[in-house]
Amino acid sequence: MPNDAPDWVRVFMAQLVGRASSFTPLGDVTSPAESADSATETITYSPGVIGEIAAMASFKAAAGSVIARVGSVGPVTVGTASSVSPTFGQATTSGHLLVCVVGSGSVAPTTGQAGWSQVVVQTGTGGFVAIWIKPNCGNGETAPTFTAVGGTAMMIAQLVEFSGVATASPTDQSAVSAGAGTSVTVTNPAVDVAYGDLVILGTRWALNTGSGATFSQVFNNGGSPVHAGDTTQTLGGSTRAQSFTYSIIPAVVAAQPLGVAGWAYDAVGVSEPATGTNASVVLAASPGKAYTAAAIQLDSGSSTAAVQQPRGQLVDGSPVIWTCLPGTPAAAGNYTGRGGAGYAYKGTAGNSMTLRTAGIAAGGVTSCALGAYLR
Amino acid sequence: VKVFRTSGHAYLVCPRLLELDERHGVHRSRWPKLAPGRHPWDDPEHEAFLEDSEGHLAADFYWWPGHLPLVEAEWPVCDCGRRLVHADLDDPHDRRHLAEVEET
Repeated sequence: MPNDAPDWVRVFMAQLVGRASSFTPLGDVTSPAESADSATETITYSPGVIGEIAAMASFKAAAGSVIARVGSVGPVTVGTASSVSPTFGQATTSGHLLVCVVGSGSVAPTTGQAGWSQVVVQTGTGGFVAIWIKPNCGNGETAPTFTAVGGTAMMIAQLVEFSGVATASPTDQSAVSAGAGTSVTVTNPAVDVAYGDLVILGTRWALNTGSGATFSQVFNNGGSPVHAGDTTQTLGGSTRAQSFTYSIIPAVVAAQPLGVAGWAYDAVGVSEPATGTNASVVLAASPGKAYTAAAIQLDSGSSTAAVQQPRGQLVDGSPVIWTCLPGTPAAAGNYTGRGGAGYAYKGTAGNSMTLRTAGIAAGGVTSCALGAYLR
Repeated sequence: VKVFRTSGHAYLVCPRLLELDERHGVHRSRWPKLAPGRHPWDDPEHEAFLEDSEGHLAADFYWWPGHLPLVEAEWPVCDCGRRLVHADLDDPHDRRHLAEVEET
């Protein structure tokens, strides 16, 4: 908008975009800050903590699917120092993702069970903690046995089954962390934009001798933690605790009341020509990006007659994708307005977007304004 | 492929408007200032009333760096069938606003 635009236009557009005096330059910099998946686990354990290790991995949903846990989680299974054989909560169903958080001491856990692969492993105080998966499993799978030949502390493992996960290459990101306090935080390396992800957190704690540790977790990105299980065990003078938590990041992190813009529009335009002329705002196309019309304002009227007002049209490149018929004011001198914020008319990537009026009557006046996201 | 390398705002009008009154080719932002308190649709008293008696189309075209010039199918066309022409503010055809980039 020109700097010398009439004050009323500036006020109108400021109201439209919710900003006082300036408009946001085009770009995605104003979108809500996405953040990498992150989880923090805190232990409550009075005898004291020696140290802890954590492994996290996120997984993508299959196209058009929503990830969900299947049935019951498997029991937290405590093995020997060299072997552990967890069991499923129920017979597996084909196409699902099987996940095992498995820990061991001094030697990394492994399995020879067909189709299983290690996503991430962390080592440090307390031994090893790893996340293993089998994507696109079969019906009635045989549970894997994990071994750590020569290990010096008890192995612990737990199996959980998920549906809706991508059947090929489901792993999105993974990360590890370690610490020596009562909480540990692990964060994926890259900013996450794939809402709907499954995030798995496995931790293993080296503790002063005792029992009864309890855990609490916090995930970011709107994820609610679901604690699958934990246990605290002592073997040969070593006390270890292990914990398995997951979260399914919601597809919509926050809902907002209709009419409330979450952030400034990427592009705005206003048009108000002379009396009797149809108005039009045209936003230039950006390669690979699509406009979503979010704020639409159409005003029209006539000072000379109660005539049918011009219709509004939203144009995606060249096709009209939305039409508004504003009707006829009751009398000359009345003005009609249509529109507001909270629309979500999405155009096609690479197309311009136009808001215009058509069919204005002689003596009529009209203006239009458009606020749009470009993503 | 040509893309804009500047931010710009063009005022495009139906050529018939220019035939009716050349002042239709001047964007409202450059009209004489409105007196405080006046309704924005009341034109300044010292200017003859500017009116389009035939209902043509004017367009405010906005672009930003990296955006694409309008293709033929997108270029605004008046209900009377005429293709709009650049009349005021930035000229979208001006080579100073355009850059040639390789298509990826």
